Amino acid sequence: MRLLRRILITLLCCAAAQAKVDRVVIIKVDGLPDSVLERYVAEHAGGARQGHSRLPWMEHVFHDNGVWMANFYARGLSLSSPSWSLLDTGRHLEIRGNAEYDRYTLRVYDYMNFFPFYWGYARDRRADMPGVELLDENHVPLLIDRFDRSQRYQSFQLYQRAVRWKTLENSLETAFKKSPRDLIDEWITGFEIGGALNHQTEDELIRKLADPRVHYLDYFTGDYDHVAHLTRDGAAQRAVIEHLDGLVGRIWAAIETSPLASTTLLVMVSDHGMNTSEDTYSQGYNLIDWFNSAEGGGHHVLTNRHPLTEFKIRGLDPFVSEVTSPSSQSFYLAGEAREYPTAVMDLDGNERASISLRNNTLNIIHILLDQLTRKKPAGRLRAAEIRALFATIDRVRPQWTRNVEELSREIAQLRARIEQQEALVAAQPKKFSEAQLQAGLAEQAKREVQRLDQMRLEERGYSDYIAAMQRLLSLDPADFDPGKFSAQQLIPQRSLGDANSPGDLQRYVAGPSAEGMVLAADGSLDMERSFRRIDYLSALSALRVRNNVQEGVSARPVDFIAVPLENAVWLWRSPERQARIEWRTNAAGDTELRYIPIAHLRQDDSGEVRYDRAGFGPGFPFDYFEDPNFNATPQWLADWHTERAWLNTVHRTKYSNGIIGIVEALRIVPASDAYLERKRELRRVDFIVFANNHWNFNVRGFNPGGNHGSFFRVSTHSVLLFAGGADTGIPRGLRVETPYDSLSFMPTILGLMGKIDASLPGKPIRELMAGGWQ
Amino acid sequence: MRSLFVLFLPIIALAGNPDFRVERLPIPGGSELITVFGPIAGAKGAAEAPLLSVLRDDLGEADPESSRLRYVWVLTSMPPGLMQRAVGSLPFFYWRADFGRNPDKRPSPVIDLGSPARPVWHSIAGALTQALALDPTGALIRTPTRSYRNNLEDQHRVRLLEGLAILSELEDDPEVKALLSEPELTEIETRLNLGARMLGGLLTTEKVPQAYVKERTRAEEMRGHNWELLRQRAEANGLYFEPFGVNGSATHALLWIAAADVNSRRKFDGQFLAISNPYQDSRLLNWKGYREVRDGREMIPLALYALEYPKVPLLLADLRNTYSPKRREMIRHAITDTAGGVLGISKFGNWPYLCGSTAFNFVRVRHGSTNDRNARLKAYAEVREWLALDDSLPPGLSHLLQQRLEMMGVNPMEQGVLHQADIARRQYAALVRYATDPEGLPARVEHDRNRELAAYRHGAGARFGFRMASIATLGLIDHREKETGQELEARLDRERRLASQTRFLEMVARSGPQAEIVWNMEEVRRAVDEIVALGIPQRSASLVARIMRETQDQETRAICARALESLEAPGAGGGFQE
Repeated sequence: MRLLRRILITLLCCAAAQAKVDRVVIIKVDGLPDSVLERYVAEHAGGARQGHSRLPWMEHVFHDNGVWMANFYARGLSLSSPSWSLLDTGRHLEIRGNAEYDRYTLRVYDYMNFFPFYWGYARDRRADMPGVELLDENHVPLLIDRFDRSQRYQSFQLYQRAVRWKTLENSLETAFKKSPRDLIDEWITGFEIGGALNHQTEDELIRKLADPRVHYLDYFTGDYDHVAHLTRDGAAQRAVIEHLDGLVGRIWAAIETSPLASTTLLVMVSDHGMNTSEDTYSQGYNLIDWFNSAEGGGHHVLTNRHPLTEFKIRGLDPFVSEVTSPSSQSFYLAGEAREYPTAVMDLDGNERASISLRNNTLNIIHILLDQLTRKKPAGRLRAAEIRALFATIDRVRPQWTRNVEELSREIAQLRARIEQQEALVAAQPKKFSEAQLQAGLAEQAKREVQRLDQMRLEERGYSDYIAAMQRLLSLDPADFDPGKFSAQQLIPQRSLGDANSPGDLQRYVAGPSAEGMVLAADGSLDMERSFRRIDYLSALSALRVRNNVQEGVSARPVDFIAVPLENAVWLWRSPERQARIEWRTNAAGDTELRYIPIAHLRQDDSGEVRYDRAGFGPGFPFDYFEDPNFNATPQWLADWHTERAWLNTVHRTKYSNGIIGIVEALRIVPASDAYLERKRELRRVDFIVFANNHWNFNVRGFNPGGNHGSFFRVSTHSVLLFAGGADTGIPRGLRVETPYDSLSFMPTILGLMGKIDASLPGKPIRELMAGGWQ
Repeated sequence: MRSLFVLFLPIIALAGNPDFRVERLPIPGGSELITVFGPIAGAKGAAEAPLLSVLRDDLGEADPESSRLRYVWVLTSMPPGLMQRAVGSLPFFYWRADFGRNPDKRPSPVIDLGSPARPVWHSIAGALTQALALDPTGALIRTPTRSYRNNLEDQHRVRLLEGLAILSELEDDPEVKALLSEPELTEIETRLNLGARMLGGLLTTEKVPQAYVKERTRAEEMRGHNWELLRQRAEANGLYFEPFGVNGSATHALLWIAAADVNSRRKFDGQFLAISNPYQDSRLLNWKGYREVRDGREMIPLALYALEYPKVPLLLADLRNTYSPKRREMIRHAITDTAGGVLGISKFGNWPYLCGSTAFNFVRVRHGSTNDRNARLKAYAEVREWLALDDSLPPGLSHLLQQRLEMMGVNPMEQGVLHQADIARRQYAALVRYATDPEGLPARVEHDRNRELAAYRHGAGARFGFRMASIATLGLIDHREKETGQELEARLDRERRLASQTRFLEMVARSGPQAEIVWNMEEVRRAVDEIVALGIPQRSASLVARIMRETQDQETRAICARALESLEAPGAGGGFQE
């Protein structure tokens, strides 16, 4: 069936390919919601522009003479890094946040920080942005990789290959090479260096349009996203969109006079929407402070940026990727924030927080070791603590030993690869001829150096982890003398260990109990009374604020929490209002999903997950029951349906394609390589906390204007518009109401250009293909 | 805690526009005085008072293309009197000297929209005189002259910002909008704003809309940022946050504490709040001051903040520690006066001092210090004006805040708000007398028109020469265009229309390709027609040619072609070569 589907797609694309698209120009707009664009296109300008739209070029090019995709959605979390990766690759997510952390080594994958990339590029140690490096490692090509180097023009963006210093140099020149009059004006109103870079990029793109050898061009702008995060003011946001409208006009006019005018396709796409409202400020809730606090477990929290960056001198450090916020209320790790951060967070986008906590069993072992080595109990308590320590270790020993052994084997293979890579790097030329530079050999050499650096880094990090775990697992109760060890020798530092289970999150050990270690009647350690435990799902959903001065905004910052299960996702809103989203692959190779309302999910010590089936009603995650735009029966939810059926049914609801998105965000697709799969697994988070409407978890600064990251329709509803020259076959004045998500973007572009890749999981947009066919 | 929502929302909801009224007064010679009246809170006598007047010189025609806005008078305040100026030159005197003014004296405009750059040149000339002539004479001269100049400049800024605060209140008023178009309001607002900044008056007219959007965006960003910062700090410290402000938006905020919480022991982190720990504070435990019962809970106000301040909310009034904000302000002024006045250390003549003070200020601002004197002044002026104009706060609280803000005044040349209504009425009466006197405002308008015509006819170099000649001969040689009366009006009408249409066509040409997609081509054709009718000057030819190139609209192209033919200008070649 899968084969048949691929053949059909290929035929459809071939049909489309009869129409001719030789060149694609993509305007990439970060964070632009379709609803905002539609609103301003529909709005009429006054004065000397009477009778015209506020966005006349958008109206002319895309609305009247192109295709407007009215229901295009970000798939997965509505965040820049994952969303652009999906658009740029057409593959399922490898990158699931703006920052990800390796559980074993706490290595930060900081996809948004371009300073280390530029610095590394200048020092010949990096060739690509961090996201591209990861995609390359996982053998996932970008859209631009489908074109020869000489055929493409890529602007500055998240998934960028190489740096064009000349563009930066020229933009600086553009910024200051002005008449004194203009310079004074700019001095008065404020200089905009970013504007100069945009201007320079536009100039270069327009010049490149005159070159018929160039088949791929893109222009990235993050201006709207930036402004909309900072201000809810409609006029300020509109000014950015009007500027974008002018850009569309200039590019379109340049296309019309270019040699490939009739076969050029112009596309405008945004990666996600933006939850912004002129009446409401987005309110922040500081989860770092909460996790630092005693109620939150007294964690030392690792993030990728400084909280309140603008108020710190060290906030000026452009290379920062790891920041630990120490807790002053830690129950057993006071003063050890550097060695033992126990919570890591990716808060970007801000309507959600992806959180991982240190392995719960590792906490228990650490606390017991700490008690034995520092508190030095005597008599029965000492014996009970030692028994409890080894009982705890024995419970996880088989699994942890297996993990360590497998990882050791993988690291041995990695060492062999490092040797090969060292030879490869040594063989790279130190100087390159002009022809070699044009062929990209210099960049390839940088890429090899970067790979070697990364392999060495991983080898060191994982080896340290293996060594510490081997020391811990080799402890023998027969000759265990707490006086000979310290917890620091046995517990891997800067590591979270293995992932937590749902049960761990419900009974998470944050420290010894207030009364300390307690003996049970039978002389064993009372494991319930000896530890301070937190049910994170209940505690987070119970958060409330007193200062809630906006009408329509809840006093609860947390909407619901998502936890990955085996082939399922568990959504928690309250003990009685939970859901289990399950997935499977059908005979045709398509993913099928179902939504089961449940209550009281719990996991016992054996790992078995139990829950009660709940009757369907209001208040369950995604609010399907009470949503007027949900037009199916409750039973429909509990039945298996393809993603297409789900998208058709739920895309207009409050949480749009959230059910597909949450699965995309948390599902790990098996990799061909065990080491790659392990790394993928190690980047997976313990749980994701979703913010209520008009709430955000930004701590870096303040984003009162708006935010994204959740599955609210306003945050996922993105822009996708097409317009083409006379021979492209792109329909004119077509509005497509059928919903699509970002997985369809790449196959559509490739299909229209006749570069069909049937291995892509997404389906091309039929309406465009049909138009092309005609 | 929905309770807080219930507690504070009614106040926010009430914060709407007070009732404003607009009056037009025709001025002999074809111009009009537009005056906005509004209620001033606490005013004795009549409920309303004149707030702001604008002179529109429309050459006697109701055509926006030939009309120009000129002067803006902020009637609620006036320039300092002689005595105040004298006190203002006393170094280290940081108290208001509210005497020696004559409200019946003809009011002086805060800005001339026809010549916004003039104050900048005056200011530069003043600064040069200070630096080159007065500073080297020693501390005895340097200190008072610097104090005088600083106080005078601050006082002028406050007046501009008061005008701005009034305008902010008027933005959405339908009656105001009927008399002043959106571009006109934008121009006044932007010019007042820029007038309060160094070199702000030099901004070219074409950039005014852009500057407005930038400034608005900046202000909105600051407001939202500080709203969030203060809300989160209030939350973290167990306090209650209440935003309120100009025109229903959140420009200011109050922090409250529940009386029942005062006695509790909890940690307090005063960072960004600039107030002391309210918990266990004996002043609050024995509080006799203002309090309110809301939702059954007794609340005590702690502090008032301005939210439109860069990076952090600015503490304007500390209701427990009345003199604390003033003390801080006085210390800041004293440091400036000591360094610049007594010691004569200038940043620009002393590199170590420049580097040291820049680094120190950078670190302080980075940590949230409120070092921006202009921004503090703006916040202060804005809140005073808002409290005077808006009645959405309970009268008792409003009066209390006004009292505290009155104490904040550190400029001897400044005037209090408590007599605003009386001053405004008398200033307006004086303005009306001036406007109806043929030798008063009408004569000034005539003089300005003559200058404007000269500006159209002569280049910047020639005008500079005329000005120098006038200064050198103490006004004996004063260049005047020969036209007067109706002839002057007719000439000016032509020039203004030409300039207006040219500016419009430049905007069309700048806006990019295919003008017909963006613009109403009837308007474009009308502009080209009018330029032709007025006699297309050589300098417009290339512009018309460019419009012709940029459009595919046949009718417009034909009109452009006719226009260029009528000129037979070689510069129009571009238009014919297609």
